[in-house]
Amino acid sequence: MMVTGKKHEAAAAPSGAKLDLSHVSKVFRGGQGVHDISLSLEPEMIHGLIGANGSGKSTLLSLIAGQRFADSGLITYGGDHVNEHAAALSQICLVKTYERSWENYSLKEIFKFASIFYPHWDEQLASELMDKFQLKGSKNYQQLSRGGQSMTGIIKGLASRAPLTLLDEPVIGLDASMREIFYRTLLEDYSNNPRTFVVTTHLIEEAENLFERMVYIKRGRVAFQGPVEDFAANAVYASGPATVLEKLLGDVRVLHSERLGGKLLLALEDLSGPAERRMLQDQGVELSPVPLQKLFVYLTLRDAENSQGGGNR
Amino acid sequence: MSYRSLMKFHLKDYRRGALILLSIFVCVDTALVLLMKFLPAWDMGTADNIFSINRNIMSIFMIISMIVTVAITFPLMSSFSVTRRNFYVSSLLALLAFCITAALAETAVYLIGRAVLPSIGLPVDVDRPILLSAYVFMLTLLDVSVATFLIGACYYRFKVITGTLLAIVYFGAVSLISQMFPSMEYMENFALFSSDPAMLEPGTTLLAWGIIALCAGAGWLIYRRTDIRM
Repeated sequence: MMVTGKKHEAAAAPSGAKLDLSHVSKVFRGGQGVHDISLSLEPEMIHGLIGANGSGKSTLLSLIAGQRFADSGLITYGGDHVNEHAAALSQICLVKTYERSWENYSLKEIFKFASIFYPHWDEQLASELMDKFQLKGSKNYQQLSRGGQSMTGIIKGLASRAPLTLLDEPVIGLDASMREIFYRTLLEDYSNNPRTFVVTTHLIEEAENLFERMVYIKRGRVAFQGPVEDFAANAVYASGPATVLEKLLGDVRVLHSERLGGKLLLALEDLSGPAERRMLQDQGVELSPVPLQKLFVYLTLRDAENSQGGGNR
Repeated sequence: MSYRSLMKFHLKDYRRGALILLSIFVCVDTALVLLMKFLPAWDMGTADNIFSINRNIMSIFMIISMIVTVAITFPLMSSFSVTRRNFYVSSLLALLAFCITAALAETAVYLIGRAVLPSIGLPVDVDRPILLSAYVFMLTLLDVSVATFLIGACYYRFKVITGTLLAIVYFGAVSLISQMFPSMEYMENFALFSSDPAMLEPGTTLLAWGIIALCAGAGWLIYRRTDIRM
Protein backbone atom coordinates (compact mmCIF):
# COMPACT_ATOMS: atom_id res chain seq x y z
CA MET A 1 0.00 0.00 0.00
CA MET A 2 1.26 3.45 -0.92
CA VAL A 3 1.59 5.85 1.93
CA THR A 4 3.46 9.06 1.68
CA GLY A 5 5.55 11.46 3.73
CA LYS A 6 4.60 11.88 7.32
CA LYS A 7 2.03 9.11 7.21
CA HIS A 8 4.67 6.64 6.05
CA GLU A 9 6.92 7.56 8.99
CA ALA A 10 3.99 7.26 11.34
CA ALA A 11 3.08 3.81 10.09
CA ALA A 12 6.61 2.65 10.77
CA ALA A 13 6.41 3.66 14.44
CA PRO A 14 7.40 0.94 16.90
CA SER A 15 4.50 -1.32 17.75
CA GLY A 16 6.19 -4.02 19.78
CA ALA A 17 4.97 -2.90 23.19
CA LYS A 18 3.40 -5.50 25.43
CA LEU A 19 0.10 -5.15 27.22
CA ASP A 20 0.01 -6.48 30.76
CA LEU A 21 -2.91 -6.80 33.10
CA SER A 22 -2.25 -7.77 36.68
CA HIS A 23 -5.10 -8.79 39.01
CA VAL A 24 -7.52 -6.37 37.38
CA SER A 25 -11.04 -6.18 38.77
CA LYS A 26 -13.98 -3.99 37.91
CA VAL A 27 -17.24 -5.07 39.44
CA PHE A 28 -20.60 -3.41 38.80
CA ARG A 29 -23.75 -3.59 40.86
CA GLY A 30 -25.15 -7.07 40.43
CA GLY A 31 -21.70 -8.64 40.35
CA GLN A 32 -21.05 -8.33 36.60
CA GLY A 33 -17.73 -7.07 35.34
CA VAL A 34 -14.26 -8.57 35.43
CA HIS A 35 -12.69 -10.31 38.38
CA ASP A 36 -8.99 -10.61 39.15
CA ILE A 37 -7.83 -10.81 35.53
CA SER A 38 -4.16 -11.30 34.84
CA LEU A 39 -3.19 -11.35 31.20
CA SER A 40 -0.22 -10.68 29.02
CA LEU A 41 -0.88 -9.97 25.35
CA GLU A 42 2.02 -10.59 23.02
CA PRO A 43 2.73 -7.72 20.63
CA GLU A 44 2.17 -7.84 16.87
CA MET A 45 -0.45 -10.55 16.98
CA ILE A 46 -4.17 -10.77 16.41
CA HIS A 47 -5.81 -11.86 19.64
CA GLY A 48 -9.37 -13.13 19.75
CA LEU A 49 -11.35 -12.28 22.85
CA ILE A 50 -14.39 -14.47 23.17
CA GLY A 51 -17.05 -15.03 25.78
CA ALA A 52 -20.81 -15.05 26.21
CA ASN A 53 -22.85 -11.85 26.33
CA GLY A 54 -22.22 -10.09 29.63
CA SER A 55 -19.05 -12.06 30.31
CA GLY A 56 -17.00 -8.86 30.63
CA LYS A 57 -15.31 -8.52 27.21
CA SER A 58 -16.38 -4.92 26.58
CA THR A 59 -15.57 -3.94 30.16
CA LEU A 60 -12.11 -5.42 29.76
CA LEU A 61 -11.51 -3.49 26.53
CA SER A 62 -12.69 -0.22 28.08
CA LEU A 63 -10.31 -0.78 31.00
CA ILE A 64 -7.41 -1.42 28.63
CA ALA A 65 -8.27 1.77 26.70
CA GLY A 66 -8.34 3.77 29.94
CA GLN A 67 -12.01 4.64 29.52
CA ARG A 68 -12.87 3.06 32.83
CA PHE A 69 -10.92 2.80 36.05
CA ALA A 70 -10.30 -0.63 37.54
CA ASP A 71 -11.39 -1.15 41.15
CA SER A 72 -8.06 -2.87 41.70
CA GLY A 73 -5.11 -4.15 39.72
CA LEU A 74 -2.75 -2.66 37.22
CA ILE A 75 -2.84 -2.26 33.43
CA THR A 76 0.32 -1.27 31.60
CA TYR A 77 1.13 -0.84 27.93
CA GLY A 78 4.81 -0.81 27.10
CA GLY A 79 5.49 -0.42 30.82
CA ASP A 80 3.30 2.71 31.21
CA HIS A 81 0.03 2.80 33.11
CA VAL A 82 -2.78 3.26 30.61
CA ASN A 83 -4.88 5.51 32.82
CA GLU A 84 -4.25 9.18 32.16
CA HIS A 85 -0.99 8.51 30.36
CA ALA A 86 -1.30 10.52 27.16
CA ALA A 87 1.66 8.88 25.41
CA ALA A 88 0.41 5.35 26.15
CA LEU A 89 -3.19 6.16 25.29
CA SER A 90 -2.33 7.73 21.93
CA GLN A 91 -0.99 4.29 20.95
CA ILE A 92 -4.29 2.59 21.83
CA CYS A 93 -7.43 2.79 19.73
CA LEU A 94 -10.68 1.35 21.05
CA VAL A 95 -13.52 0.78 18.61
CA LYS A 96 -16.79 0.24 20.45
CA THR A 97 -19.84 -1.45 19.00
CA TYR A 98 -21.63 1.91 19.06
CA GLU A 99 -20.36 5.42 19.80
CA ARG A 100 -23.19 7.53 21.20
CA SER A 101 -21.01 10.65 21.21
CA TRP A 102 -20.61 10.44 17.41
CA GLU A 103 -24.35 10.67 16.73
CA ASN A 104 -24.44 14.32 15.71
CA TYR A 105 -21.31 14.30 13.59
CA SER A 106 -20.78 13.48 9.94
CA LEU A 107 -18.25 10.81 8.98
CA LYS A 108 -16.05 13.52 7.52
CA GLU A 109 -15.96 15.27 10.91
CA ILE A 110 -15.38 12.02 12.80
CA PHE A 111 -12.40 11.09 10.64
CA LYS A 112 -11.09 14.66 10.81
CA PHE A 113 -11.11 14.40 14.61
CA ALA A 114 -9.39 11.02 14.39
CA SER A 115 -6.68 12.52 12.17
CA ILE A 116 -6.06 15.21 14.81
CA PHE A 117 -5.66 12.76 17.67
CA TYR A 118 -4.02 9.64 16.24
CA PRO A 119 -0.37 10.28 15.40
CA HIS A 120 -0.21 7.42 12.86
CA TRP A 121 -3.54 8.19 11.16
CA ASP A 122 -3.57 7.06 7.53
CA GLU A 123 -5.82 9.36 5.52
CA GLN A 124 -5.37 7.36 2.35
CA LEU A 125 -6.45 4.10 3.98
CA ALA A 126 -9.48 5.82 5.50
CA SER A 127 -10.61 7.11 2.15
CA GLU A 128 -9.96 3.72 0.45
CA LEU A 129 -12.04 1.98 3.09
CA MET A 130 -14.84 4.51 2.74
CA ASP A 131 -14.96 3.67 -0.95
CA LYS A 132 -14.87 -0.08 -0.27
CA PHE A 133 -17.67 0.18 2.26
CA GLN A 134 -19.57 2.68 0.07
CA LEU A 135 -19.81 5.27 2.83
CA LYS A 136 -20.38 8.96 2.18
CA GLY A 137 -18.48 11.49 4.27
CA SER A 138 -21.45 13.84 4.41
CA LYS A 139 -23.68 11.29 6.18
CA ASN A 140 -24.26 11.59 9.89
CA TYR A 141 -23.25 8.63 12.04
CA GLN A 142 -26.78 8.43 13.41
CA GLN A 143 -28.26 8.19 9.91
CA LEU A 144 -26.22 5.10 9.07
CA SER A 145 -27.51 1.54 9.28
CA ARG A 146 -26.14 -0.69 12.03
CA GLY A 147 -23.67 -2.08 9.50
CA GLY A 148 -22.64 1.41 8.41
CA GLN A 149 -21.91 2.34 12.01
CA SER A 150 -19.76 -0.78 12.37
CA MET A 151 -17.91 0.15 9.17
CA THR A 152 -17.22 3.63 10.55
CA GLY A 153 -15.70 2.07 13.65
CA ILE A 154 -13.63 -0.33 11.53
CA ILE A 155 -12.25 2.58 9.46
CA LYS A 156 -11.31 4.45 12.62
CA GLY A 157 -9.63 1.32 14.03
CA LEU A 158 -7.65 0.41 10.93
CA ALA A 159 -6.74 3.92 9.72
CA SER A 160 -5.65 4.96 13.22
CA ARG A 161 -2.72 2.54 12.74
CA ALA A 162 -2.59 2.47 16.53
CA PRO A 163 -0.01 -0.06 17.73
CA LEU A 164 -2.72 -1.55 19.95
CA THR A 165 -6.14 -1.63 18.29
CA LEU A 166 -9.11 -2.98 20.21
CA LEU A 167 -12.13 -3.93 18.09
CA ASP A 168 -15.28 -4.71 20.05
CA GLU A 169 -17.64 -6.76 17.89
CA PRO A 170 -16.53 -5.02 14.68
CA VAL A 171 -18.74 -7.03 12.32
CA ILE A 172 -22.12 -6.47 14.00
CA GLY A 173 -24.69 -5.66 11.32
CA LEU A 174 -22.33 -6.29 8.40
CA ASP A 175 -23.55 -8.56 5.62
CA ALA A 176 -21.41 -11.50 4.51
CA SER A 177 -19.64 -9.62 1.70
CA MET A 178 -18.77 -6.65 3.91
CA ARG A 179 -17.49 -9.01 6.62
CA GLU A 180 -15.27 -10.62 4.02
CA ILE A 181 -13.94 -7.21 2.98
CA PHE A 182 -13.21 -6.44 6.63
CA TYR A 183 -11.36 -9.73 7.27
CA ARG A 184 -9.30 -9.32 4.10
CA THR A 185 -8.47 -5.68 4.78
CA LEU A 186 -7.52 -6.43 8.36
CA LEU A 187 -5.15 -9.22 7.31
CA GLU A 188 -3.66 -7.19 4.47
CA ASP A 189 -3.11 -4.13 6.65
CA TYR A 190 -1.78 -6.27 9.48
CA SER A 191 0.77 -7.94 7.22
CA ASN A 192 1.88 -4.57 5.81
CA ASN A 193 1.95 -2.85 9.20
CA PRO A 194 2.23 -5.46 11.94
CA ARG A 195 0.64 -4.35 15.20
CA THR A 196 -1.48 -5.78 17.98
CA PHE A 197 -5.17 -6.33 17.51
CA VAL A 198 -7.65 -7.55 20.08
CA VAL A 199 -10.92 -8.53 18.43
CA THR A 200 -14.09 -9.68 20.14
CA THR A 201 -16.68 -11.54 18.11
CA HIS A 202 -19.44 -14.09 18.33
CA LEU A 203 -18.83 -15.24 14.75
CA ILE A 204 -15.91 -17.41 15.72
CA GLU A 205 -16.12 -19.73 12.74
CA GLU A 206 -15.47 -16.80 10.39
CA ALA A 207 -12.83 -15.16 12.51
CA GLU A 208 -10.86 -18.16 13.78
CA ASN A 209 -8.44 -17.99 10.88
CA LEU A 210 -7.60 -14.41 11.86
CA PHE A 211 -6.75 -15.17 15.43
CA GLU A 212 -3.30 -16.26 16.43
CA ARG A 213 -4.06 -16.38 20.12
CA MET A 214 -7.28 -16.46 22.00
CA VAL A 215 -8.61 -15.42 25.38
CA TYR A 216 -11.84 -16.97 26.59
CA ILE A 217 -13.65 -14.99 29.27
CA LYS A 218 -16.13 -16.81 31.42
CA ARG A 219 -18.18 -14.79 33.89
CA GLY A 220 -15.54 -12.08 34.16
CA ARG A 221 -12.59 -14.43 34.55
CA VAL A 222 -10.03 -15.75 32.10
CA ALA A 223 -10.94 -19.39 31.46
CA PHE A 224 -8.43 -19.91 28.65
CA GLN A 225 -5.52 -18.02 27.19
CA GLY A 226 -3.23 -19.40 24.53
CA PRO A 227 -2.87 -20.40 20.88
CA VAL A 228 -6.19 -20.85 19.09
CA GLU A 229 -5.46 -24.45 18.18
CA ASP A 230 -5.03 -25.34 21.86
CA PHE A 231 -8.50 -24.07 22.76
CA ALA A 232 -10.29 -26.91 21.03
CA ALA A 233 -7.39 -29.38 20.97
CA ASN A 234 -8.84 -31.76 23.52
CA ALA A 235 -12.51 -31.34 22.68
CA VAL A 236 -14.02 -34.19 20.65
CA TYR A 237 -17.27 -35.42 19.24
CA ALA A 238 -17.81 -39.05 20.24
CA SER A 239 -20.36 -40.81 18.07
CA GLY A 240 -21.25 -44.45 18.56
CA PRO A 241 -23.55 -47.05 20.13
CA ALA A 242 -25.78 -45.52 22.79
CA THR A 243 -25.07 -48.48 25.09
CA VAL A 244 -21.39 -47.52 25.22
CA LEU A 245 -21.72 -43.75 25.42
CA GLU A 246 -24.64 -43.62 27.89
CA LYS A 247 -22.13 -44.39 30.66
CA LEU A 248 -20.53 -41.02 29.97
CA LEU A 249 -23.74 -38.97 30.09
CA GLY A 250 -23.29 -37.93 33.72
CA ASP A 251 -19.68 -36.91 33.14
CA VAL A 252 -18.86 -33.23 33.79
CA ARG A 253 -16.95 -33.10 30.51
CA VAL A 254 -20.09 -33.67 28.43
CA LEU A 255 -21.08 -30.39 26.81
CA HIS A 256 -23.79 -31.64 24.50
CA SER A 257 -25.63 -34.86 23.65
CA GLU A 258 -27.84 -35.91 20.77
CA ARG A 259 -29.64 -39.21 20.11
CA LEU A 260 -29.78 -40.49 16.56
CA GLY A 261 -31.78 -43.74 16.71
CA GLY A 262 -29.60 -46.29 18.46
CA LYS A 263 -26.62 -44.00 18.30
CA LEU A 264 -25.51 -41.27 20.64
CA LEU A 265 -23.44 -38.20 19.80
CA LEU A 266 -21.57 -36.57 22.65
CA ALA A 267 -19.47 -33.40 22.62
CA LEU A 268 -16.76 -33.83 25.25
CA GLU A 269 -14.77 -30.85 26.49
CA ASP A 270 -11.64 -32.87 27.19
CA LEU A 271 -10.79 -36.32 25.97
CA SER A 272 -7.05 -36.08 25.97
CA GLY A 273 -6.18 -39.35 27.66
CA PRO A 274 -4.89 -41.78 24.97
CA ALA A 275 -6.04 -44.84 26.92
CA GLU A 276 -9.59 -43.57 27.19
CA ARG A 277 -9.67 -42.63 23.51
CA ARG A 278 -8.42 -46.08 22.53
CA MET A 279 -10.94 -47.80 24.78
CA LEU A 280 -13.84 -45.91 23.21
CA GLN A 281 -12.58 -46.45 19.68
CA ASP A 282 -12.24 -50.18 20.41
CA GLN A 283 -15.96 -50.22 21.33
CA GLY A 284 -16.94 -48.73 17.95
CA VAL A 285 -17.01 -45.07 18.95
CA GLU A 286 -15.87 -42.59 16.32
CA LEU A 287 -13.94 -39.54 17.51
CA SER A 288 -13.79 -36.27 15.57
CA PRO A 289 -12.74 -32.69 16.40
CA VAL A 290 -15.30 -30.15 17.58
CA PRO A 291 -15.30 -26.94 15.49
CA LEU A 292 -14.32 -23.87 17.47
CA GLN A 293 -17.68 -22.15 17.00
CA LYS A 294 -19.57 -25.24 18.19
CA LEU A 295 -17.30 -25.61 21.20
CA PHE A 296 -17.87 -21.97 22.10
CA VAL A 297 -21.65 -22.40 21.79
CA TYR A 298 -21.63 -25.51 24.01
CA LEU A 299 -19.43 -23.82 26.62
CA THR A 300 -21.63 -20.72 26.60
CA LEU A 301 -24.82 -22.76 26.93
CA ARG A 302 -23.33 -24.75 29.78
CA ASP A 303 -22.26 -21.56 31.54
CA ALA A 304 -25.76 -20.15 31.14
CA GLU A 305 -27.32 -23.34 32.53
CA ASN A 306 -24.90 -23.32 35.44
CA SER A 307 -25.66 -19.67 36.19
CA GLN A 308 -29.38 -20.41 36.25
CA GLY A 309 -28.97 -23.57 38.29
CA GLY A 310 -26.28 -22.10 40.53
CA GLY A 311 -23.77 -24.68 39.35
CA ASN A 312 -20.07 -24.05 39.08
CA ARG A 313 -18.68 -26.33 36.47
CA MET B 1 -0.62 14.94 21.95
CA SER B 2 -0.01 18.65 21.70
CA TYR B 3 -2.25 21.40 22.99
CA ARG B 4 -2.28 22.74 19.46
CA SER B 5 -4.07 19.57 18.33
CA LEU B 6 -6.50 19.80 21.23
CA MET B 7 -7.31 23.44 20.50
CA LYS B 8 -7.68 22.62 16.82
CA PHE B 9 -10.29 20.04 17.80
CA HIS B 10 -12.17 22.55 19.99
CA LEU B 11 -12.09 25.14 17.24
CA LYS B 12 -13.71 22.69 14.84
CA ASP B 13 -16.16 21.52 17.47
CA TYR B 14 -17.20 25.05 18.54
CA ARG B 15 -17.53 26.31 14.99
CA ARG B 16 -21.03 24.97 14.37
CA GLY B 17 -22.32 26.26 17.72
CA ALA B 18 -20.77 29.67 17.17
CA LEU B 19 -22.42 29.96 13.76
CA ILE B 20 -25.80 29.05 15.27
CA LEU B 21 -25.27 31.68 17.97
CA LEU B 22 -24.35 34.32 15.40
CA SER B 23 -27.46 33.51 13.35
CA ILE B 24 -29.65 33.85 16.46
CA PHE B 25 -28.02 37.20 17.21
CA VAL B 26 -28.67 38.56 13.74
CA CYS B 27 -32.31 37.35 13.70
CA VAL B 28 -33.19 38.55 17.22
CA ASP B 29 -31.48 41.94 16.91
CA THR B 30 -32.97 42.63 13.49
CA ALA B 31 -36.41 41.68 14.81
CA LEU B 32 -35.89 43.99 17.82
CA VAL B 33 -34.93 46.96 15.70
CA LEU B 34 -37.86 46.36 13.33
CA LEU B 35 -40.29 46.08 16.24
CA MET B 36 -39.03 49.34 17.71
CA LYS B 37 -39.25 51.05 14.34
CA PHE B 38 -42.78 49.95 13.53
CA LEU B 39 -44.21 49.72 17.08
CA PRO B 40 -43.21 53.07 18.63
CA ALA B 41 -45.28 52.33 21.76
CA TRP B 42 -42.90 49.53 22.56
CA ASP B 43 -40.26 51.49 24.47
CA MET B 44 -37.20 49.56 25.65
CA GLY B 45 -35.31 52.54 27.07
CA THR B 46 -31.54 52.64 26.82
CA ALA B 47 -29.39 50.96 24.17
CA ASP B 48 -28.02 48.73 26.88
CA ASN B 49 -31.49 47.54 27.78
CA ILE B 50 -32.33 46.99 24.14
CA PHE B 51 -29.37 44.74 23.56
CA SER B 52 -29.35 43.08 26.99
CA ILE B 53 -31.22 40.24 25.34
CA ASN B 54 -27.95 39.36 23.58
CA ARG B 55 -26.34 38.67 26.94
CA ASN B 56 -29.19 36.41 27.95
CA ILE B 57 -28.93 34.56 24.64
CA MET B 58 -25.16 34.12 25.14
CA SER B 59 -25.53 32.97 28.72
CA ILE B 60 -28.18 30.41 27.75
CA PHE B 61 -25.98 29.33 24.84
CA MET B 62 -23.04 28.82 27.19
CA ILE B 63 -25.17 26.76 29.59
CA ILE B 64 -26.31 24.51 26.72
CA SER B 65 -22.80 24.40 25.34
CA MET B 66 -21.37 23.22 28.66
CA ILE B 67 -24.05 20.56 29.05
CA VAL B 68 -23.07 19.36 25.56
CA THR B 69 -19.39 19.45 26.56
CA VAL B 70 -20.08 17.18 29.52
CA ALA B 71 -22.47 14.80 27.81
CA ILE B 72 -20.93 14.63 24.32
CA THR B 73 -17.49 16.26 24.03
CA PHE B 74 -16.07 14.34 27.00
CA PRO B 75 -16.95 10.86 25.64
CA LEU B 76 -16.18 12.08 22.10
CA MET B 77 -12.62 13.07 22.97
CA SER B 78 -12.21 9.91 25.03
CA SER B 79 -13.27 7.88 21.99
CA PHE B 80 -10.15 9.28 20.32
CA SER B 81 -7.93 8.26 23.23
CA VAL B 82 -7.66 11.72 24.82
CA THR B 83 -6.89 11.69 28.54
CA ARG B 84 -9.24 13.30 31.04
CA ARG B 85 -6.58 15.85 31.95
CA ASN B 86 -6.11 16.91 28.32
CA PHE B 87 -9.87 17.07 27.83
CA TYR B 88 -10.37 19.16 30.94
CA VAL B 89 -7.53 21.64 30.54
CA SER B 90 -8.15 22.16 26.83
CA SER B 91 -11.90 22.57 27.41
CA LEU B 92 -11.24 25.27 30.02
CA LEU B 93 -8.81 27.07 27.70
CA ALA B 94 -11.30 26.88 24.82
CA LEU B 95 -14.02 28.09 27.17
CA LEU B 96 -11.95 31.09 28.25
CA ALA B 97 -11.20 31.95 24.62
CA PHE B 98 -14.85 31.59 23.70
CA CYS B 99 -16.03 33.78 26.60
CA ILE B 100 -13.58 36.54 25.66
CA THR B 101 -14.66 36.33 22.01
CA ALA B 102 -18.34 36.27 22.96
CA ALA B 103 -17.97 39.33 25.22
CA LEU B 104 -16.15 41.21 22.45
CA ALA B 105 -18.79 40.16 19.91
CA GLU B 106 -21.56 41.30 22.23
CA THR B 107 -19.81 44.64 22.64
CA ALA B 108 -19.40 44.97 18.87
CA VAL B 109 -23.10 44.25 18.34
CA TYR B 110 -23.92 46.85 21.02
CA LEU B 111 -21.69 49.46 19.34
CA ILE B 112 -23.20 48.78 15.92
CA GLY B 113 -26.70 48.99 17.43
CA ARG B 114 -25.88 52.24 19.20
CA ALA B 115 -24.67 53.72 15.93
CA VAL B 116 -27.56 52.39 13.86
CA LEU B 117 -30.52 53.19 16.13
CA PRO B 118 -30.30 57.02 16.03
CA SER B 119 -29.87 56.95 12.25
CA ILE B 120 -33.27 55.28 11.89
CA GLY B 121 -34.89 57.69 14.31
CA LEU B 122 -34.66 55.66 17.52
CA PRO B 123 -33.05 57.62 20.36
CA VAL B 124 -30.44 56.06 22.64
CA ASP B 125 -30.51 57.39 26.21
CA VAL B 126 -27.61 56.09 28.24
CA ASP B 127 -24.34 54.39 27.37
CA ARG B 128 -22.19 51.98 29.30
CA PRO B 129 -18.46 51.86 29.99
CA ILE B 130 -17.52 49.62 27.07
CA LEU B 131 -14.38 47.78 28.21
CA LEU B 132 -15.41 47.38 31.83
CA SER B 133 -18.80 46.12 30.79
CA ALA B 134 -17.23 43.63 28.36
CA TYR B 135 -14.86 42.43 31.08
CA VAL B 136 -17.67 41.91 33.60
CA PHE B 137 -19.79 40.17 30.99
CA MET B 138 -16.91 37.87 30.08
CA LEU B 139 -16.53 37.06 33.75
CA THR B 140 -20.24 36.36 34.11
CA LEU B 141 -20.17 34.02 31.12
CA LEU B 142 -17.10 32.24 32.47
CA ASP B 143 -18.66 31.85 35.89
CA VAL B 144 -21.93 30.48 34.51
CA SER B 145 -20.06 28.14 32.16
CA VAL B 146 -17.62 26.74 34.71
CA ALA B 147 -20.44 26.23 37.21
CA THR B 148 -22.51 24.42 34.56
CA PHE B 149 -19.43 22.35 33.68
CA LEU B 150 -19.10 21.34 37.33
CA ILE B 151 -22.80 20.63 37.86
CA GLY B 152 -22.91 18.70 34.57
CA ALA B 153 -19.89 16.64 35.65
CA CYS B 154 -21.72 15.73 38.85
CA TYR B 155 -24.75 14.63 36.85
CA TYR B 156 -22.49 12.59 34.55
CA ARG B 157 -20.53 10.90 37.29
CA PHE B 158 -22.92 10.70 40.25
CA LYS B 159 -26.28 10.71 38.39
CA VAL B 160 -29.36 12.87 38.99
CA ILE B 161 -29.67 13.26 42.77
CA THR B 162 -26.12 14.48 43.47
CA GLY B 163 -26.18 16.69 40.37
CA THR B 164 -29.45 18.29 41.45
CA LEU B 165 -28.17 18.82 44.99
CA LEU B 166 -25.05 20.54 43.67
CA ALA B 167 -27.15 22.77 41.38
CA ILE B 168 -29.25 23.82 44.39
CA VAL B 169 -26.11 24.51 46.44
CA TYR B 170 -24.61 26.57 43.60
CA PHE B 171 -27.66 28.74 42.97
CA GLY B 172 -28.17 29.15 46.73
CA ALA B 173 -24.56 30.30 47.12
CA VAL B 174 -24.84 32.73 44.20
CA SER B 175 -28.01 34.20 45.68
CA LEU B 176 -26.36 34.55 49.10
CA ILE B 177 -23.25 36.17 47.60
CA SER B 178 -25.41 38.63 45.65
CA GLN B 179 -27.16 39.65 48.87
CA MET B 180 -23.91 39.98 50.81
CA PHE B 181 -22.06 41.79 48.02
CA PRO B 182 -24.43 43.85 45.88
CA SER B 183 -21.63 44.44 43.39
CA MET B 184 -21.77 40.72 42.59
CA GLU B 185 -25.40 40.85 41.56
CA TYR B 186 -24.46 40.39 37.91
CA MET B 187 -23.62 36.77 38.75
CA GLU B 188 -27.25 36.11 39.53
CA ASN B 189 -28.69 38.08 36.66
CA PHE B 190 -26.69 37.56 33.47
CA ALA B 191 -28.07 40.60 31.63
CA LEU B 192 -27.93 42.98 34.58
CA PHE B 193 -26.37 46.34 33.98
CA SER B 194 -26.15 49.13 36.46
CA SER B 195 -25.18 52.66 35.58
CA ASP B 196 -23.65 52.94 39.03
CA PRO B 197 -19.89 52.77 38.30
CA ALA B 198 -19.27 51.19 41.72
CA MET B 199 -21.21 48.15 40.56
CA LEU B 200 -18.67 47.47 37.85
CA GLU B 201 -15.37 48.13 39.56
CA PRO B 202 -12.84 45.55 38.47
CA GLY B 203 -11.76 44.95 42.08
CA THR B 204 -15.20 43.61 43.00
CA THR B 205 -14.77 40.89 40.42
CA LEU B 206 -12.00 39.22 42.42
CA LEU B 207 -14.56 37.16 44.27
CA ALA B 208 -15.98 36.01 40.94
CA TRP B 209 -12.50 34.87 39.86
CA GLY B 210 -12.26 33.01 43.16
CA ILE B 211 -15.55 31.24 42.53
CA ILE B 212 -14.48 30.36 38.98
CA ALA B 213 -11.19 28.93 40.25
CA LEU B 214 -13.03 26.95 42.94
CA CYS B 215 -15.51 25.51 40.44
CA ALA B 216 -12.70 24.67 37.99
CA GLY B 217 -10.70 22.91 40.72
CA ALA B 218 -13.74 20.98 41.95
CA GLY B 219 -14.57 20.05 38.35
CA TRP B 220 -11.15 18.48 37.87
CA LEU B 221 -11.51 16.48 41.09
CA ILE B 222 -14.70 14.99 39.64
CA TYR B 223 -13.44 14.38 36.10
CA ARG B 224 -10.13 12.82 37.01
CA ARG B 225 -11.82 9.58 38.13
CA THR B 226 -14.89 9.56 35.91
CA ASP B 227 -15.61 6.46 33.86
CA ILE B 228 -16.80 6.96 30.30
CA ARG B 229 -20.35 5.69 29.94
CA MET B 230 -20.58 2.84 27.45
